[in-house]
Amino acid sequence: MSRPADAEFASHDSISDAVLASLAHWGNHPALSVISPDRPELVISAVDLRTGVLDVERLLRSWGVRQSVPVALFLENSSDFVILLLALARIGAVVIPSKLDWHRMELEELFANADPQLVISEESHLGVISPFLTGRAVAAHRARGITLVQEADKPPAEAEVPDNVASINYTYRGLGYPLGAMVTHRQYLHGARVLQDGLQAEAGEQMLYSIPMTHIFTLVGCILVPLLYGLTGVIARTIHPRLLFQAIDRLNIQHLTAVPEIYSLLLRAHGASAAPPSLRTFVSGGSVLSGELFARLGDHFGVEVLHGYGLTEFTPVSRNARGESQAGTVGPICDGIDCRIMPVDHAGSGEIMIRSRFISPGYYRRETETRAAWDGEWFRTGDTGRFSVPTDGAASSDGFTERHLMFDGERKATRKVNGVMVDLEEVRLAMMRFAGIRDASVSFEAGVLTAEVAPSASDASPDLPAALRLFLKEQIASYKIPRIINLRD
Amino acid sequence: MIEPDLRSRIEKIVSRISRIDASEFHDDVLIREELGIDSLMAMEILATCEKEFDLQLDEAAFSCVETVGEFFQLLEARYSEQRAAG
Repeated sequence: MSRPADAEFASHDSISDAVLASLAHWGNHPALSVISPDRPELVISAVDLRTGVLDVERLLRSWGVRQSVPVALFLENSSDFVILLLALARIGAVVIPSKLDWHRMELEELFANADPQLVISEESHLGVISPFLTGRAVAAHRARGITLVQEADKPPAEAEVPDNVASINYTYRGLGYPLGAMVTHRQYLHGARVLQDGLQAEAGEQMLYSIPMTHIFTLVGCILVPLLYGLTGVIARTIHPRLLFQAIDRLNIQHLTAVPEIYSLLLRAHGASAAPPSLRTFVSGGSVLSGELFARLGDHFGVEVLHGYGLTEFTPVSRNARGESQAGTVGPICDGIDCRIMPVDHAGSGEIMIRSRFISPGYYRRETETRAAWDGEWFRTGDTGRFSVPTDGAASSDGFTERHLMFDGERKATRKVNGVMVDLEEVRLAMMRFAGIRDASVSFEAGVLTAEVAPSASDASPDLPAALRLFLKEQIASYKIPRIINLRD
Repeated sequence: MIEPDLRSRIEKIVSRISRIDASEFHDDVLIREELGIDSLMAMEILATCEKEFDLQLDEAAFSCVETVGEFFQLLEARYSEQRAAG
């Protein structure tokens, strides 16, 4: 197998065309491998993956899917997710990677905002989303393959998106509801190239990952990087340390991509065992990796840890490159992007602002929120940071690559819980839907989501927090439910 | 009925990982909704119990567990099975 040249991808405007061009170099080499705790390993060769994409493309077209039609995917990590993503991209449809964790509140917004014309869901998940499926085409995903289980009432309508939009990826800015960032094919391809420049993986190597495919970091770094640069992507449908270490040993994994919380779990679970000899790099994203964890991972596993920073609207913004990674930073600003810190406080910290020709064109059908997030061509990330070298407040990737970006925190009312974004206002609004509550506030203290709740009645039952948790379980993703709920007057 | 010593050892593990006082581990308490134990924490509890008791626990079976009591029963059953198998 040979690795295709970057220039070959540059000529493509579609992720699927670029991936299929790459796969043409692979022969029968495994392109994807899936390991599960309860099923035998599934290996899919490049030839079979290519054939699968073209077959599914034909099937989707026969269901009426065409260019710009929004299609929601409610799927677990699987090879079929990858096949559907690429098949939809070939058609030019707009993919909406949708979280299986989401419940009523998030789903209300997603379906109202994106209005997906086709919903492809795990069969087991159809019950959760059924209130939102009336009139839509629905396909069920079973062990392998998809089946149309409901036809739409009317022909599919196109999404009102600019050219080259590949997907609508939902994220938060602390407003209390998700925003659908439009992500272009060019941004995906650019992001993959920049990540590979940092990773410097060799064709024939293998990357294992277990983070959800709905995340932009996974889509770019775990699906596209391997497929474009000749790596076998190993999809682990578990985060059980014993099973992950077994897979790393058995499959000779070189690269592991995860969030810091999973690395921390692996470190604690590994104990004094010898590090798997095949491992070369740990790619970390999703949330902040502390300098201490960076050092401990490197010492214990003998790997280089590549940490970075990115957003749904644009990823990666910065990343550490192999051979040059540093603790406590999210690396130098990547090629193809300008970054400035504005305004800068006395410590050199301020809001991270970025601009790039590849950045998201905005939030789908949310013009007010789009205008608020952009200052001309500069995107306000809502995060704060500083450069490792004092600056005058403006920095460009040109000539300043030695400077590292340091992430300080979130200015917007969002926090990362185990690598997943939680909108504090959304959690508060969900609690306010509960009949027994007069007022509520939500904070993230010492790594724990905490709520202060004022009950409507002065003689509220001490069981109110438990009842509220059960109510929230129906409203929002379980990881958003506060671990501590305190009652106040 | 789970043997007291085994239960006490499991409680210590869960308490250390979740940072929740063991006095809250009543059998009818919901692990996720009431104790707030998320999937990462659950996986660490599972992995630690496997090491501590030299067991191999079924991840799928664990994902079906809802209450503290069910969790203890699952562990005890697996512990007894493995002991019986020698």
